[in-house]
Amino acid sequence: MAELAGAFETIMDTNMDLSTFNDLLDRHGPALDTWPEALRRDAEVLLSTSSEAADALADAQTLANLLAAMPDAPAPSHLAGRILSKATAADTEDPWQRLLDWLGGRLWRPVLAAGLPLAFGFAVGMVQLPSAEEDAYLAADVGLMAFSPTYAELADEE
Amino acid sequence: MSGASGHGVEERPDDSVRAALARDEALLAAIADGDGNAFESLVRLHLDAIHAYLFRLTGSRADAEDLAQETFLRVWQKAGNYQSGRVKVTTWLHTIAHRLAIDGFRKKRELPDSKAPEVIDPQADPAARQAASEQQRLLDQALSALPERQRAAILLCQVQGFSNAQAAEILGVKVRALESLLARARKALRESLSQLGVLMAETGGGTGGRI
Repeated sequence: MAELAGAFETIMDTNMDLSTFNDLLDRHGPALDTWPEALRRDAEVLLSTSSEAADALADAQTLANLLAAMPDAPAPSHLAGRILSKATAADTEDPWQRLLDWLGGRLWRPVLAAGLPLAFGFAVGMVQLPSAEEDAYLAADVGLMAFSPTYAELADEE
Repeated sequence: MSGASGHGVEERPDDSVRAALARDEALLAAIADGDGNAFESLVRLHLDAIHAYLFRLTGSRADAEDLAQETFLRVWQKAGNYQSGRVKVTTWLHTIAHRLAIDGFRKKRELPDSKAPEVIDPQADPAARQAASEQQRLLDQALSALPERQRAAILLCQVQGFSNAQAAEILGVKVRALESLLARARKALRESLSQLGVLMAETGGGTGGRI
C-alpha cells in the first residue's frame, strides 16, 4: 500500500509551478495541444491538483473565445472595384514604366548573364595590345638592353 | 481564417488547406504574367481578411481601406517576387499589409510600440455596434489600448488564425520574440478585462467576476 502511495505521489509530482504555468499560458495560449509535449504533460499534472491553474486556464480560454468571436470586419463593397480600377489605371497611364518594371522584374538575370561576358570582352578589346610590328621593336629593345654595357654592369652586381 | 465552405462532401482539413494553397499560388503565378482575371480572383478571396486585420490594427476604417488597396496594388506589381513553398500566400499578403501599416504609423510620427490613437472607428456601422455584446466592446477597448506590436501579435495569432511561426514571419521577428509579444499582450488584456469584470481575477487573487 505504501508502495502504491509512493508511486501515486511520483506520478502526481510535477516540475511546473503556477508561475511557470501562467507564463506558458500567456506565451502559447489555452490550447494545450499546441504546447510542446513535455510542457503539456507537466501542465496537465498541475491542472489536476491546482484550482488556481484551472482558473487561469479558464480565463485564458474566455479571452480566446472573445477574440475568436470578434465581429467580422468585411471590406466595403466598393473597395474591390476600386482596387481593380487602380491596377488597370496604373497599367494604362504609364505603359513605359510598366514595361520597365516588368523587364526589371523578369529579365534582369538573363540580361546580366548575357551581358557580362559581352561587356568583359568589349573592355578587353579596348585595351591596345602591341601589334606584331610593335612586338618586334619591343623585342629588339629588350635585346639591346640585355647586351648593353649598363645592363652587363647591373648583372655583375646582382 | 476564412476559406472553409462547409458544404457538400466533407473534406479533411488538410486537403482543403492544401487545395487553397495550390489555388493561391496558381493565381499569383498568373498575376505575375499580367493576368487581370487572376488578380481579381485573388482580391475577392482575400480582401476581407486583409481589411479586417488592418482595421483592427489601425482602428480606422479609412486607413484600413487605403492600406488594403495599397496591399493589393503591391501584389499586382510584385507578384513575381513571391517564392512558392517558402511561405503561404496568406502569410505573404499579411506581411505586405502589416509593413504598409507600420509605414503608415511612422509617417504619422508614431513610435512602433505606441498605443492606438483611438478606440474602434466611431464611423463604424451603428447596427454592427449595436449587435456587439458589451464584452466585445470592452475587448475592443482593451485591444485598442495595447501597443501596436502586441496588438498585431494577438490579432494575427488569435483572430486571423496564424501559427506563432507564421505570425513571427509577418512581423519580421523571431518566434521567441513573437511569444514574448503574445505573453505581454495576453497579460495586459487579462488585467484590463479583469478590472472591467469580464474575467475572473488574475491568478493569485483579486476582484471581479466572470460575466
